[in-house]
Amino acid sequence: MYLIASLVLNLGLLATFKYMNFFADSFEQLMTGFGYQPSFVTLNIVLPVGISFYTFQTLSYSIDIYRGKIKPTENLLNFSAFVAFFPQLVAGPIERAANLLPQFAKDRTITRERLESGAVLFAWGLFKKVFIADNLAGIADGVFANPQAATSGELIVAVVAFTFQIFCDFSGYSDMARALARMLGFDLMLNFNIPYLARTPSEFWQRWHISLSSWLKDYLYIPLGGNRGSSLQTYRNLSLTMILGGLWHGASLTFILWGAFHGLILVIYRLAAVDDWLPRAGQKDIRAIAINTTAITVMFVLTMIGWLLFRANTMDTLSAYLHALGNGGWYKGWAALKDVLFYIWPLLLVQAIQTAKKKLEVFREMPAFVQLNMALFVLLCIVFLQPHEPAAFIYFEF
Amino acid sequence: MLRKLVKLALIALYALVFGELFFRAMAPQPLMPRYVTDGGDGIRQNIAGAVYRQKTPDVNAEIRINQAGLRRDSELPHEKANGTTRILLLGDSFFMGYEVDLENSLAYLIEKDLNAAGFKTEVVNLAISGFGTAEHLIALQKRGRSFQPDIVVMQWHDSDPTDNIRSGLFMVERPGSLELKPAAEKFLPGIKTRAALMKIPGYEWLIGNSHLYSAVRERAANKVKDFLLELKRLKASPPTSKGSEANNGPKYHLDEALILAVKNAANSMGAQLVLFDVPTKTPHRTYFSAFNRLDRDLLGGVKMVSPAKALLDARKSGHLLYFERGHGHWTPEGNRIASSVLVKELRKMLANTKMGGLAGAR
Repeated sequence: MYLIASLVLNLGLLATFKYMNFFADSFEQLMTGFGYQPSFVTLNIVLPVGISFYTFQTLSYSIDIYRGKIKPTENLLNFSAFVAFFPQLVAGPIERAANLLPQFAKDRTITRERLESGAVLFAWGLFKKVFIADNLAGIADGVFANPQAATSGELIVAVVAFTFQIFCDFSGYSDMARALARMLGFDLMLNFNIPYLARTPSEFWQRWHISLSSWLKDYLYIPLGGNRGSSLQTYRNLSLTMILGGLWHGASLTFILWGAFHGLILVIYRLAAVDDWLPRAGQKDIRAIAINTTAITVMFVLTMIGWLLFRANTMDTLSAYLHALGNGGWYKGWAALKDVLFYIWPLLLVQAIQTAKKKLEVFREMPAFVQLNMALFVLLCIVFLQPHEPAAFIYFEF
Repeated sequence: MLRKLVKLALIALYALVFGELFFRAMAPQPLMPRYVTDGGDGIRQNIAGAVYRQKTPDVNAEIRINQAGLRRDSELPHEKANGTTRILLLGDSFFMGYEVDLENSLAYLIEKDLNAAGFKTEVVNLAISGFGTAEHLIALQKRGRSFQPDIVVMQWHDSDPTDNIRSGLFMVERPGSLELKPAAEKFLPGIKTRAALMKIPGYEWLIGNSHLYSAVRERAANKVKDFLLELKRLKASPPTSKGSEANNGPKYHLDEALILAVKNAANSMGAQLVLFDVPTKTPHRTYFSAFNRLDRDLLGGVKMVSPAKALLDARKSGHLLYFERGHGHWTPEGNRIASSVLVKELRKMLANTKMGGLAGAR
């Protein structure tokens, strides 16, 4: 009973604020197509920042209590702090009560180690946001604002730019949220783990927005039956989960399309059992390296196609973009590509080190002189090389 | 303790070297030293006789200032020779010809073109980087009169509304009023600091060569500018802004009042005013007229000339008209197109003068 009340309340709020206008408009358009002229009430309201994030967080709390995984807290202050914990309130990570709630109850110690590693993580997150993401936004936004005016090469580069922009924007925020929490004595879950080195869609979702994908797995995919039924049922569950995952991002057909696209490639990879026959990641022989590199490249291209659907925002923009791909002038994207490379090379370098060391937080393992140079570089980029007009966090819209 | 201090000092020194190398490799900065001083009349003046270079990834231009503080190779006597037309320019870095050599600057081009067309003309370029309309008015009143101008060409740029508030030199008391009141005796931002720094050995080399210094100075200057603007707005409260910046509430017409005051001052010297547009560049390489920020109905008697269309047409033909990697001033081509639009208008006016029409137009 309490679970139903919680679901109705949380999903009701989400539906009202985020989806009501979309579905009312869509239904109205549909009925108009049949010759009816219905008049629905649409709300002229502002979407509360981060509603998708804290709604899912509170839902997981209720469901975990129902499942007996955690006990309900009797401390309203702790519960309120869990829901409204400021570092991750507006854009995640979507924390589980089992991880975060007990941390409010226990004594926390703020150590020098926490402050130092937190400061490094925060600076890296800020660097990714203001230097990489915000500068790449200028490249991508210019093209998506008017795709018809761009050459084919510039259109492709715009998607490359957005691919890194959204990663640095979102993972930058997650890093800063985790860093702030760490400095305050809390540990938040990891949200990104070098996702563009994923070889398959399932690997991608184990590395990208981990807090959402694991939420969808635990509270949607598995309750739907997961992979316990027939193959067809598994494919249905995958597709449905991904479509709803797309819809979580916003009330737009392009998000649904993005989710459906990811559902589709998950199904295709599963049909081909790609995860089963790929060599083990990190295997050193040439054949394994070649196959894994190819798999990463293919997955990266598929991810970019997904981001095109995501970034288009409207079907009109998507259609204009696809039409404009025939504009020609492929080589004219080179200048824009050089700009993209200029902004992303530090990221690629760090990710190469992280991959080689099989560890994400590598800064403090570097020699002191390297640390000094890296710190100066990051600091100078943050202070001097951010664009004049910073862009808002993309995931604040969700 | 001493070891720690030495270590810190070495790290600081290394950080400076790293910073310089960082900017040279990652983001070469425009090296745009400004040689301005207290003009003694409440506003800035170019340092007489200064010679310096402006270096950006695209240009290496030399700025030469004559003994009267004008960007010009020759000296101009204040007394005008018989049969000569004097055109006086009031503007900021665009009219001063930042980022281009003298031969590609608007002032030089219009003088050359008008003389080539048979109009014996001298251009008195009173432009100073950073000036707004309030300073143009003072420059005209206190420096321009002695040059006996026949035509005054004043630049209008997107930055003027904020410059006019920031300088705080004039105000209008009521919304809708065009009655201008002096509000401050002087506006000399950074002049004392600059003068003090110039006395430090090596500083002059630093401003002309250090990318790190240039980046820090530019950022600090922008912060100070923003701070000054906010301060002026706060001081001016109520009303909030005295200028045309405020979008809400009653509309103050400081910019229009200043332009009309310049027109009246020019007319009182026997000169006609031309307000010349420096179109605003958008990131998407299109231009729109900065006149859009003005209430044209209030400026009915002011001749307004805009090169926006000519620039846009040239842009469509593939010309680069505003520098993209320096401080965004006109390229030589941009100056050429702007000057050709202005020359066309000036020729019409000068032809009228010969027929006695200019005086009638005032």
